[in-house]
Amino acid sequence: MATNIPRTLKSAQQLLRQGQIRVSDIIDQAYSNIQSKSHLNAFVNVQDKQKHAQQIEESQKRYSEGKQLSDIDGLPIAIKHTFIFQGFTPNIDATVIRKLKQNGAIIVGKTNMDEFGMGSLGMYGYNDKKITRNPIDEEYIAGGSSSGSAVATKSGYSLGTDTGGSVSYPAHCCGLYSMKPSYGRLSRFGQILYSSSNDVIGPMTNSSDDLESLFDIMQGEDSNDSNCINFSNISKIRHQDRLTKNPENISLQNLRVGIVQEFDIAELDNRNRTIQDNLKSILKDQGAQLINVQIPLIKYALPFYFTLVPAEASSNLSRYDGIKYGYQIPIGSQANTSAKQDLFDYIERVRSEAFGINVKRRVLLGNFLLSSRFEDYNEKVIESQRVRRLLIQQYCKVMEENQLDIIISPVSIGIEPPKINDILNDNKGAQKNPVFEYKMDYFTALPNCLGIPAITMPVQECKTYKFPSSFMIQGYFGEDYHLLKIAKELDSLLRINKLNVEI
Amino acid sequence: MTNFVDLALPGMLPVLNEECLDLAIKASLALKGKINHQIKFDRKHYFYSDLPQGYQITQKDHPIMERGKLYYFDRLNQQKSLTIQRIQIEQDSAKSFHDFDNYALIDYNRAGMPLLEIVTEPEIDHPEDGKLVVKEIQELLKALELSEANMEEGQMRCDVNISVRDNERGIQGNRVEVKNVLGAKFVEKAIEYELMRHVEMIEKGQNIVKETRRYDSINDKTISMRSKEQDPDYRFFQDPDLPCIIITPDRIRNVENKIKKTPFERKVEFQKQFNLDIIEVQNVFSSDKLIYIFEKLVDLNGANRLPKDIYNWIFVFVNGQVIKKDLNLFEIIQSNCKDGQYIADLIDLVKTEKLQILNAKDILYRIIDGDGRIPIAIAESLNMIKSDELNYNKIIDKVLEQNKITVDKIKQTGKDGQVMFLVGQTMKAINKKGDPQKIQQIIREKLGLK
Repeated sequence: MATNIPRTLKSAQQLLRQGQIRVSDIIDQAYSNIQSKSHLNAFVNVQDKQKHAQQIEESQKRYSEGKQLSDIDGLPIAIKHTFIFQGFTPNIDATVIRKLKQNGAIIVGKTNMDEFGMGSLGMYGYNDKKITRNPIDEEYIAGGSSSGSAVATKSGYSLGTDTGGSVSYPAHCCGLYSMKPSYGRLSRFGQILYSSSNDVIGPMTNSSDDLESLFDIMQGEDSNDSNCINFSNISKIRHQDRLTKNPENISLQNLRVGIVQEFDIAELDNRNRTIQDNLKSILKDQGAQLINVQIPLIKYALPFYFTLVPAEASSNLSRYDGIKYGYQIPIGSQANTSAKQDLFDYIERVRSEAFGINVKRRVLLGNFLLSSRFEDYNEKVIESQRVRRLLIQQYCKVMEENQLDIIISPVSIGIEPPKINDILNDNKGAQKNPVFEYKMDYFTALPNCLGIPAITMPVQECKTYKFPSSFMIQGYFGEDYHLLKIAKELDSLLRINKLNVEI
Repeated sequence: MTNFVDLALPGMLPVLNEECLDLAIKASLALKGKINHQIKFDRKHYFYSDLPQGYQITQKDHPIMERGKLYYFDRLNQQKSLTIQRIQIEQDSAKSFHDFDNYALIDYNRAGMPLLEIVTEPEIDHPEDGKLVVKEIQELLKALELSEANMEEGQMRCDVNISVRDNERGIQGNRVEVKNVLGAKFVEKAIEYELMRHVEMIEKGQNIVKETRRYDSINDKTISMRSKEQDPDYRFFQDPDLPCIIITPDRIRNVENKIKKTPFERKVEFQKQFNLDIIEVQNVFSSDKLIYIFEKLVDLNGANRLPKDIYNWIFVFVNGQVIKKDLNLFEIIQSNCKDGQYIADLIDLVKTEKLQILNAKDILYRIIDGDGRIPIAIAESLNMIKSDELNYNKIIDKVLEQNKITVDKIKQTGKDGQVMFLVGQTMKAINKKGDPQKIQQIIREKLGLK
């Protein structure tokens, strides 16, 4: 077995093409990594390696003939555990999974996550599944909800396909690249829905090139998802030429970068502020134009997020009633006189027993917000949608008027992820006070709220501090390829000009 | 057949059926309503075993159509219009079977099927009109090829809302909903039953509970299901998985081009064209095939037949036998009467005075009973054809001679009561081939009567 399996898709592919390594070497390495890192609890379910034998052989044949299917042919990919119900096994592929398979990817397993994607800590797995541990330091969380995918990607053998705005925070915690595409660019068909109008699927990788490879394969309209459309048909798009993959390179010179005043909040860790400042001066050195802007409505993004998201979650999760599939309990023990009451008792028990604490909290909050018993019917939810519309308008206006290519932002308020024991022992009040966790989403919820693409990038080689930290670049709706190009350019620049943080 | 989306498996997303939307536009156009430029879908939540998603996708705020009109003939056969409040596109639930001791069965085949909900304004003020409205909608939906609209099979279901107002005492009773009435006749009966119940309660000074009831067709009564206070909190909100849809004028025009006249419009036209009573028109319109036969017979082979005659032949003579012998009207006309050709022949024979109406009916009955020959052949074989050379005078003279007493009596009194007896005797003598009216005329002349 080759000892040096590269961590990025691009270099792995290069070696495969040159015949320096074989597909089977890479898959072997992936499985041995899963084995040796099993204490990190990245996976909930690992595919039988034997099942891939034929796929590996076919892929190898394609490489020897120089006819590989894509950038990911023969490479291992881990998938977030989107189908998580006991007693229910899906028998169709989600659209994005189908696309990955068609392009030769070898799916090695499903990765750990917070139940239904609800959580930022990677500690609320279904049925008390084990806590995902950070590969940099096992005492720390890996971030959520895509905790397992982050660990899987970090360990160097695979990458994660991922759900929700929750790719950014795990990427931040583990020093990875992640992308949250524009809403509607990737099909959600086959993804367990949490918040329909916010859910997106996004890749997590070890390089910006790999983000582009995966995004390019997975994106595209899908008739199974009414919200996944062909973007070139949208009349309001700013630059049609930015919608598609075009080979022209982009220069950072004259790039127009927005600096949002509302992102510089008091709670922001000073080290994070330093990273932002360093990034700004590097961009400036390259001839980019920094433009200070204000988007005052950003302060409503989080209240919006925690109004609409629980409302949608409570609705989306109402299909889990234990009648058709999933968790079930013995029936017939009820003492009710009416069959209907028996049924309601059954559903109530199933949902009380099966859902975890975080899920129950959000379902209850969502039902409360939608209820007509407490106020006019879903008044708060409609209000939150109005806020979203205004915020989108304001954001677009700022980007259009200043002709901004990107906006830079921190990913998290703090630099280091919380320690697992601190949370378990409630040292910071996380257990008693869910607001602690909600606040972690201050920067990451915004791209979901706006539906815009955002890429999280790690700060390269931070010598003086254990956790690498990160920053985020946000783009205009639909300009995913444009944003990827800027990310790649920035990436290669930062490899030379390190964003060192002195602490 | 049920699929993953309808079973609400995790990760499945709803997609609007474009054909269903076009059908909804069709219904909206036929009901002359305002089609909304932008429509959206909402979720209505409640837990039940027949609702796989835990919510029904429906249209609450922006339905496909608002403020339409349904034209129909009311119980007095007057043209009337009923305001349609809205039409909304919905998903059907699964079908539950509760007739078991310890369990229920759920048929998921119906789950997720598209439904059109047509909501009327409270303008119906008679049980029979309720029935007629349901029937008119049924016919309309069939004519539009929107649905078979078979109520017994649940292809069309009706929720009836009833309230009673006592104008004298100024009492407005609460509204009661009777769910899932499966038949136009049962709609009438359910309204009748509720009406009596409400009036009785108001007269006793009792309060009518706002509630949901169901109609028990076997015992002809309604039974309470739950009070409106027990209705679940539906937690309506816009379905985030289905985008708003803009309905373009082009799309409406495309549907409009394919749309035919409504049954009501066709009836009104038919009534004018053929000068029939509306009841007669309704009978003709009971089947598309009958309309076709009727229109065909009016000018078959270039003859100009009276629509009234055709109506009488089909709906009085043929249908009389059909009912008596428990046959199928259309089959008899199609096969025994050779697509109505034989009926046209008989009408023509009577009209040209070659055949007596009574004999013509006799021949018709033979045809219905299976005589396959053409009418003229049957008439000839039975010697029923009137001969022009027949000398009425000679025979009538003979009959008058044989019945001298009667003749004298008529001459003395001038009363013509016995004339028909003489006509009958003459007919008997000429083997029923003559024209009784003509014979009567001759006898009257001979006897000096007017």
